[in-house]
Amino acid sequence: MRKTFLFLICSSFLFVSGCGDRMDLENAAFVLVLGLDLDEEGRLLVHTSNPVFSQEAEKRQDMKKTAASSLHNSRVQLNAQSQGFPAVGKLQVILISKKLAEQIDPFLLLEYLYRVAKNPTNARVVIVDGSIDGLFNAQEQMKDKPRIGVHLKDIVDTGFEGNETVDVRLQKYHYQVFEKGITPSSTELSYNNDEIKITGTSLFNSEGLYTSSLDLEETPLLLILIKETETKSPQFTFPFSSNSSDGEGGEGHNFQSLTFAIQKMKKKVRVSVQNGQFVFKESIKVDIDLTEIPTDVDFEKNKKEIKKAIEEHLKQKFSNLIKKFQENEIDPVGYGLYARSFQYKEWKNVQDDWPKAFSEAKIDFNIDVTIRNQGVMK
Amino acid sequence: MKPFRRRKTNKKEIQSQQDANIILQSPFSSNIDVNVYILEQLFKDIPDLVMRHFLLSTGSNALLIYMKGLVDKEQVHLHVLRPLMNSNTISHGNIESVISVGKILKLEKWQKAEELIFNGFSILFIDGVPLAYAIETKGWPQRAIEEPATESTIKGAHQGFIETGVSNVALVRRYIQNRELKIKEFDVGRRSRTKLSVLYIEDLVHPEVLQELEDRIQQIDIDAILNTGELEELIEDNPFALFPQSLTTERPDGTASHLLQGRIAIIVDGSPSALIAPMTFTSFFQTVDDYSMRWTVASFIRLLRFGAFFIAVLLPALYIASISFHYEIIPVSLLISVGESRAVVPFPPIIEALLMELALEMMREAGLRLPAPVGQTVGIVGGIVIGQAAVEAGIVSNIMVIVVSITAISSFIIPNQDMATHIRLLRFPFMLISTLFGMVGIVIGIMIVMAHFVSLESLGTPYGSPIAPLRLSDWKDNFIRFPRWAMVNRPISARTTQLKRQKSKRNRGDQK
Amino acid sequence: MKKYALNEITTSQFIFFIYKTQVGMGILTMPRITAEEAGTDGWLSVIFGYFLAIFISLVIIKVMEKYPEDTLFDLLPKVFGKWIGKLFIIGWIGYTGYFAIVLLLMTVFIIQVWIFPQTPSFLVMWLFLIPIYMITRSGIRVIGRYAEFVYFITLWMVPLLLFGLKDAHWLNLLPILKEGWKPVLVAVQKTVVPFIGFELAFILYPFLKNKKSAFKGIIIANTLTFLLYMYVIIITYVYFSPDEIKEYTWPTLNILKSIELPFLERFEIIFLSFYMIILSMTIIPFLFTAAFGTSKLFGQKSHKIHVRIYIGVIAFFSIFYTPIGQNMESLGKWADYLGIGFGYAFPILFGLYVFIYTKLKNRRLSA
Repeated sequence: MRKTFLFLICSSFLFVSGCGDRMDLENAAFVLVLGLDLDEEGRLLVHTSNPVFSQEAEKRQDMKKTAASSLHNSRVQLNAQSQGFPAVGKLQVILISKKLAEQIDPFLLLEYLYRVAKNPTNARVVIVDGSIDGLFNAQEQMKDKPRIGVHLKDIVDTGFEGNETVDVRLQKYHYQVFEKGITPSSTELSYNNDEIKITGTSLFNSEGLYTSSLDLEETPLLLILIKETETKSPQFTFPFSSNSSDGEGGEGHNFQSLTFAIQKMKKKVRVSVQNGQFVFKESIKVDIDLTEIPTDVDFEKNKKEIKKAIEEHLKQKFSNLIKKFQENEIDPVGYGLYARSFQYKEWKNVQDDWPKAFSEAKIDFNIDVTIRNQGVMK
Repeated sequence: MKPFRRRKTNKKEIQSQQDANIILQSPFSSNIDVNVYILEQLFKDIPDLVMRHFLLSTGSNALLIYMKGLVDKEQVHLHVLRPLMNSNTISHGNIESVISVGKILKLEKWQKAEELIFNGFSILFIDGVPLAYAIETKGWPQRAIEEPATESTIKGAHQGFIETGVSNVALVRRYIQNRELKIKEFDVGRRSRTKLSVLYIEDLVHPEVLQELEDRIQQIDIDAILNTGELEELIEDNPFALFPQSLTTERPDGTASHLLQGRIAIIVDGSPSALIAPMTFTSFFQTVDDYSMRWTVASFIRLLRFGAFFIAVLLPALYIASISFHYEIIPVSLLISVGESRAVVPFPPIIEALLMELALEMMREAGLRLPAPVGQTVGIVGGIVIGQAAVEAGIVSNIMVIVVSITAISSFIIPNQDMATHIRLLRFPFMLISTLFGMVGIVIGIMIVMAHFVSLESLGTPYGSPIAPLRLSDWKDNFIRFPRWAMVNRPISARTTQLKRQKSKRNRGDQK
Repeated sequence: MKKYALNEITTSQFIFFIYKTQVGMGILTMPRITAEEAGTDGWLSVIFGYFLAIFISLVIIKVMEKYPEDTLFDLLPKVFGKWIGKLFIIGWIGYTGYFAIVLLLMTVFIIQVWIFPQTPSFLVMWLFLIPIYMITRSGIRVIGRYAEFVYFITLWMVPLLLFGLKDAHWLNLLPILKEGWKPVLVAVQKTVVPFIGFELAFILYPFLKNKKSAFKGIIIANTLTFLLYMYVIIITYVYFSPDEIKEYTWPTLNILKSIELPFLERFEIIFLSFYMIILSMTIIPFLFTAAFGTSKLFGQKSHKIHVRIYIGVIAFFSIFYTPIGQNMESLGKWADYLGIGFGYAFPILFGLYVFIYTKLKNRRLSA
């Protein structure tokens, strides 16, 4: 009896066959790259690219462009253009042109991606220095490269691993927008006709607009501060000459420099408030490996000096970085989190305009370097 | 006219059948001629019945009958006929001391005589004696004892059951030389009169379970039982079950191991396998070889089997669900290669999968029934056709070929044939429901199987044990096989009355 | 003379029965609803909720110890007299039935939002009702086994959330008690409802084989639930920003959504599908209690026919009703009120009543 009951139900399903969500993979035009740009008249331009599987088709990918007022609106229009239903469920990279990011808070445009459950939260948020149209065209000319979605994803992921940029996905971007104690940051990309490459990190202010960038030298410092250095250790180089060295020429002798790689890092932040001003005492303990020393410097003799020089160098770098942040009234590191955790009363007063309070804050660096090894050379 | 005549003869036959029943209930006559007449009536048209008339030295007529082919001729000639014919001091009182055969029964009624003749006994009639002697001279054609093809082992014993129940019981007894190993015999089947031997270890088996089994066997009313599978269907708890509820094995050592855990084995005469009950789901994933390997290796293989179970049931369904509904869950680089291979295929994934699965099942079945060399050819042809040509022709995608072959291999890992077949069957409904409802459908399917699983019982013993109902102490010999010294207790799931397994000689019956 | 000897359950079945009934929608929504009231101090409220649940559970067991052979439905007429007792039974049927239906609708709703936006809701509902029917009609013992099985088959889902720790900001939890005790205590009322499920001990107790283990069992069940809730809440709190977490209706799923493994992504689809198994084990006990209640009300022995009626009615009406987010919210609110009423207030009042009632009865007997 139960069997017949089950069978009846099953067969009724078959007849109704109402599962409207079925969409076979090869029929779905899943968008791998979404590009947001502004045209000359200031209208929103939406670019998409999805892979094409059909063997008859010459192109491997389908690139489209529409002008639209919102993302959802553009989805409707794109749908009419393509053979398949555009699904953003597999979105890998969101490209936002710098031009757009300077004028509009990109977060407002991405609302659709967050609200609909099918949409991904792992797409990488990328600011493009230049027009997206140009990037798409340039990529299409690169015959030896994979489809644009996979290509860009690989470039950005390699960037994450090489400490060239911050790892900001949609989920994290959402976090940065909503967290009062931090301002958003994202990957920055530039291109020319032969190459697409990472140029560092874009920084946004509290209104969500693009304000400035960190280049490939500054980005590792930010990564150290937010403790997100990947397995590959960041390297720093600076010219160094020892006082005790009897090198031929003091000046102009800087093609030999000191290079070190940061291996292990411990960071501690103390927050205090003095006269309504936040004071952060950041002590960073790093273990480093020396990878290059000027040949005329004797390591054994100048051990202390080298250590000191490195500490000074890092301190200088960090201070410059913070200065840059404070000038732009941004806090991509998230000092606000420390302020909230340890000085909650004061924080409550400034929480709605934290970057401003941060720009007036004082940040002291105390860097303690331990040279773990100096390589195989004496 | 013809049909009428036919009906008439039929009627006559039935009449004689009724007469025969009356005769069978009656005792033998002391007159040998009467007995011969009755024999001729009863065993009409049975040319393989041998009737040997001879004179005893006392001068009285004697008759020895037996079935040609069911008896050991040599034994009849040397140990029955020769002493009877040659002995000078014979009288009907000392017949048993003349015949040099182990088992001699005295019969009074025809019914028993008929039964024993077909069991390979020789029956001796002597004029003037209203009795018959049944002399055990069994000796029918037998297969040699060899390793069972379906359950071969690497390190375990290489003996398998054969088609003679008595030998099979002896094979089991070789492993358990203990008088607690008891045997209850039943005759089942009105025509076939198949002998069932129910083996159990008396101080281990739960009396309720044994009683339940006996009741079920006694309730069987059937024409004939030819093999263990038929018996299994007649005594199982739920005829609609998705999983086998009792195990059939061809291995005496496996049978012994189950008996020692407190289970019951039924040996069907004429069938080279034993039926073991009550079983739990997880015990189908155990083999005797597990215990001859070191426990680390055995545990790994066990886990492999359970993994294979899930793959065999779910993999095609998961694949269909993920490419028809939830392609989001596949990483993009994999997705693109799946997409490229799917793009050439004109069918929806379910058709593709069904095509492949059915082709595979057909090949398996074809290979099974054909003689070995031809079977191999089928494998090669099928492999090439499905593996290469179908993909190149764009009928199936190569990812589907991979999925189907992994599934097939996984289902072959399951050590028990019955379980493996049921699992293979189970994956079709899963494929269907995943086509309709994707992942949600699969989970609903899992829930239905779970619901079925927890309510299933084998001889009144919960089938889902030791997972549901939870019996943590049984987990020692389940997904992982603990070292032998750690398995102090028998599994509770088998409902044994004496839990302690080791040191049981010292504290015998401690649980009683 | 044991009425329910045939359907006895073991202690572990008792534990998992209650534990799995408690764990349901709470996992998905609790991080948000506690954060709405108490920010990242919400986890403190869970501790209070836990102790409250333990206290009520012990009251229930204490009451049941006095009548070890009776379920609540046998007990109510005995204590209150036939008619008032029946009134209470109807109340309980209404409560459990309502809970079962609301949970069913919520399950279908959440599946529709996350996985099948375009499938008619009644199809999902029908599909889901098949296994629920198969289990519910088989009685307490099978439900107990199912609970155990559910525990093991969904065990792998718990560590999945650990992937969220990759992006954890442990500073979110600091400072503790940032706004003082008041919001924490206010949030307690939100944390008590996810613990609902222990009150089914009223029904389960007479079925329990080893009655001495009831105390231990119910405490273990509550503790397991509590640990799981704490685990989920802490992980969601450190993953999301305290302001951001209120933005998500089901924050737990958003964590799973961003998990990326080399061979699998988007775990929320897999997780949510399998979560239906966990949800089914919350629905089944309530549905069973309702059916069991009606069978007691009409003095029938078997509850099967009632299960069939319930399932049939739900299946029929699901054709005409599609769950809507806003309705779900108000339905959920009513479920909360009912839960607090029948799960928390009722046991205390009933316990007091039974206590006085037996005292008076004993005095009358001795006098």
